[in-house]
Amino acid sequence: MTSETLELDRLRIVGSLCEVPFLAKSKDEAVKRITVLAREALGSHTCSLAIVDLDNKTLTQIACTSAEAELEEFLTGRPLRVGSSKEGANVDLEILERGLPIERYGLQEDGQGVANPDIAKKYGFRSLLSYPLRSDGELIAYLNHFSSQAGPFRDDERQLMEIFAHQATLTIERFNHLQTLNKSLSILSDLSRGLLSISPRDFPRLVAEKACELLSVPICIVWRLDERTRRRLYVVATSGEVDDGYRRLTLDAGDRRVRAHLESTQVSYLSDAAAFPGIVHRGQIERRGWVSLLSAPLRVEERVIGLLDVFTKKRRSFKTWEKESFETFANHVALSFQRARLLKEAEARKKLEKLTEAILEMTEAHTVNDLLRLFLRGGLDLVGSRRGLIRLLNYETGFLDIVEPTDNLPKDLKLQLGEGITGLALKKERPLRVGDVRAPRWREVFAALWEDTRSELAIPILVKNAPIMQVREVKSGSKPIGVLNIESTSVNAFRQIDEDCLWSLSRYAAVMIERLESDRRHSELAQIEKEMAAALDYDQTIDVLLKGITQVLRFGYVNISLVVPDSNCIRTEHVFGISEESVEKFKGMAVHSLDSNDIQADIVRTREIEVPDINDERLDERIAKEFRHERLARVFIPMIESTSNRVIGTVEAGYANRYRKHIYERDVQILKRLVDSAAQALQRRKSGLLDKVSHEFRAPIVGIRSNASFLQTRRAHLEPEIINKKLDDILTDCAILLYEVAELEFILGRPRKQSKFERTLVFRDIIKKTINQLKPIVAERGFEPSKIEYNPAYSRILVVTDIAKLNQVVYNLLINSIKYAEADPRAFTIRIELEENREFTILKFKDWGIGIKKQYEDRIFDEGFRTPEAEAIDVTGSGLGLALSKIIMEEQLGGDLVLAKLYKPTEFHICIPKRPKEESDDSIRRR
Amino acid sequence: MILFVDDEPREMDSYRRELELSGFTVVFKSAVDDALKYLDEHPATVDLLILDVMMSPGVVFKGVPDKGLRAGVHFYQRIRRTLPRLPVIVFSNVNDYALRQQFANEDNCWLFQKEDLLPFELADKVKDILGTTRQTEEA
Repeated sequence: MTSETLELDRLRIVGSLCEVPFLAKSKDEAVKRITVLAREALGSHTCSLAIVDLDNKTLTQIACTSAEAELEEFLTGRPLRVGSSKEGANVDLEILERGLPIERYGLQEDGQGVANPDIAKKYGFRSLLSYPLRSDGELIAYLNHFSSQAGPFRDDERQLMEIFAHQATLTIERFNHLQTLNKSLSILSDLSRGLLSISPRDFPRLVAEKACELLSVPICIVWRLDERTRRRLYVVATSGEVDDGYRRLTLDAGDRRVRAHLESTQVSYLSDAAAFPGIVHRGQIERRGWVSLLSAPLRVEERVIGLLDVFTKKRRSFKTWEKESFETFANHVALSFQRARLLKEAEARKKLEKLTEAILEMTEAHTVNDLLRLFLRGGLDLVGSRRGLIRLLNYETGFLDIVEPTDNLPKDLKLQLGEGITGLALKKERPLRVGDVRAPRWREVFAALWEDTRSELAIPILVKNAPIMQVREVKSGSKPIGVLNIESTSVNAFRQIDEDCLWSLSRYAAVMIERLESDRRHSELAQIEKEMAAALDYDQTIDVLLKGITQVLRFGYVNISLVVPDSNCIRTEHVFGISEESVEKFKGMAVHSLDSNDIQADIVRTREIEVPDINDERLDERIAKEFRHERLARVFIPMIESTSNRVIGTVEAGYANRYRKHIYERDVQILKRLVDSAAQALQRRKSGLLDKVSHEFRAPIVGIRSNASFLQTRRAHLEPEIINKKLDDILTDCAILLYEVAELEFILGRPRKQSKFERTLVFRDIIKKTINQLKPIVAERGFEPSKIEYNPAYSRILVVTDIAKLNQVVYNLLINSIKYAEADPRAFTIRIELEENREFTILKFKDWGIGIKKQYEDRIFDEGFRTPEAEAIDVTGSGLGLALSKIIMEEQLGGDLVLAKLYKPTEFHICIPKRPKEESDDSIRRR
Repeated sequence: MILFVDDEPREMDSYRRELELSGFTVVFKSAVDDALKYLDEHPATVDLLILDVMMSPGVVFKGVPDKGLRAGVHFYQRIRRTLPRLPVIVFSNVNDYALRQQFANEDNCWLFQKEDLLPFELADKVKDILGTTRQTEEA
């Protein structure tokens, strides 16, 4: 069993772990730091991270931290052989292909694989726990925890490994992403420079070479559609080992297979092109030994102009960021081809130089604000204007807020999506170039910022093919971001080439904004995950989850529903984004049987993430109507406990669909991470506390059984005094068990139903009863029960409250005073005093025990918290007693429990209201 | 003589009394510091040690790994250096695989769960371990 302090140490380490991807300067530094932290948290002998290369069947340890410096050096950079264990390979290929966690014991014995037994013996490690790192569902690495213990590993070690593996994945993904992005930007800049410096005829060849460089692939083929007939595609350039025979091939644009690909808005990937029946020229590809294919249509506006294919000679799985990079590259290539056409004009050439300069400058931006400033400046320079601004769409209000104006902006004119030429351009998702805003066609539409404007150019900023989720599939859709608006006092100030160049620049800006925003979200997410790891209780975990969903992802509506196994239903526990008055009504309606056709029940069964269609029959019609869900875009995510693999609930998150129609796949990924982190945090707390409470149950059960058995077998030989003592012990243990049941209920979130059972009682009786129950424990410590002092006059005091609950609080305070008393029996005193005022009866519990240090004052009522001094005296204990007592007093009895003094005496006050407030079962149930 | 080390004397009282009624002399210690001191001073008189696992670390195990919370394990490792042949019953409420593995290959050591043994059953185990003849001689 892990102590709470140890758990806090671990949470601190997990907190530091969340920062690693953002603070480390390089991937090497980041993965090394992960192994250092993992070793510290797990108490490992050695921790390493091994990158999996399934194509080449190797597993290479790229970072290692060990108790043995020599071993650290030995393992770093060392490849492990993958294959059949019968052939002496270290790791079984089948295990790697399935990407399962690996647990190995007895590493110092022969035939256990993974490590050479001599090495294991020399350095003293005996067991190994390896966790897979998965990116886009594919195995990329293993995190290895070598232990000097014989094993087996504990559940808390497995849980920690899972968290570390998750963060290590994020780190690797982030650095790979950055690496690819930087490479991609540098290649795009080479392409732009090449466009100006080499002839249009040679340009396609540069494209092919740069594509190979971008993805480190050996083969690239650039196809162009015959512009006149638009019936065939021809090879215009190749790079790598492409022979003349292949160069002579053509593609029939009318062929069903080719047409489907050209019309697709996404990059296509085939792991083994030669084995795919639907591909044209399959035999030719097979003959040349080409294997994996990545292919992107080249499209200018909606018009296809060609196709870009890259092949590998070994099977290769391209990562999402590589596919994205290839797509950006293909977009840039398509625009470059169009620009190459325009290069014949001197003025056009000048503009393209400026466009390239603007793109290069924008690549230097580190924040969205920097980027927007550079975008506006580059755009104005391109068209020779000094009047312009950038507006971004506010997804909640639909307003296009001005974020980057030129200095001479006369006023802040509010515009909604669709309003003015600016709003119209974004709504129609295409540039609008208006030669004269006073012309009849535009007079009514034009919204004047500058009164003397005559021409306007409105360029939407939008991501055309953003991955979106529909039902359970990823498709593509547009994502509106904002508008670049440039104006002039002259009529017909802007030409077609201005529009083309700005549209090109704007699309580049949109991709960059998405990237920077994604970076911001990931950085904020790391902070949220850190807070999640440090969350002390259920409520705090849920608060952090809500904060992440609403503040990082900017979702306006969240519904967290939990499965209630006893009732076989799923019901809403927290809802955000509806009026406060409606919350209870919503909760009352949002209870669904797990056997029903309701979408949440279905998600508990299928465990799939879903973005349902508004007409989906599984959506609750009554709730949808009452709370106007037709105006929301929503996603449903299952909350899965990783160790038990149980679905414990669902998170439904959404926003108004008026201005943001789709649920974006990237947001879903982040949302899923948040939900997983919350499920893990809740599970960690629950399993740790359950372990402690279940251990606490054993002692009184063993006591009752042993006493009963002893009486049964030895009664005839025992003095009456001993028999009575044994019977007292049994009664005390039974009472302790009952109090501990309340702690168990507290963890499980199900309070006893009789919480409203109030009656008038003589106050002294509760004290007397509890002292009697505790007498054997007082005697066990060698203390005198009469040193628990109270005034017999309390027999006159009557209170109206729930006796069982008040008993629980009194018991928790007294047992703490006894457990944490000074060892010297002469120093033992507990004094119970009573005070009354108009509102409360105040019971003061004073003891002269070990006390509470000032630094723990604020945490003493935290769930699961125990001071190190308390732990040193009593190793068991769940740390729930005071937390539970505080909740009972505040939320069930309408009073309070206060720590009034820390030391000599330590003093707690129970404040019982003279007029009890209405109890709130919900507040307890939430826990 | 049996040295019984457990920080819950009340819960263990029936076990202690049953052992005494079965003819054994029992010295009960509820703190690891006291128990170690007793063993240091009377190494030859202790025939069997009954040892709990989850106990306060006391002064002697303060600061050891796992915050010394499994003080019984550290206690066992400490006494094994000087008393390798002393029979030890590890008698615990902890029931996890790691603990079972910890003691699986130890000589002269038996691991029992408290919930599995009633007082007379523990006494029977002790008799088996120490051997009836020896007990008779000592009586």
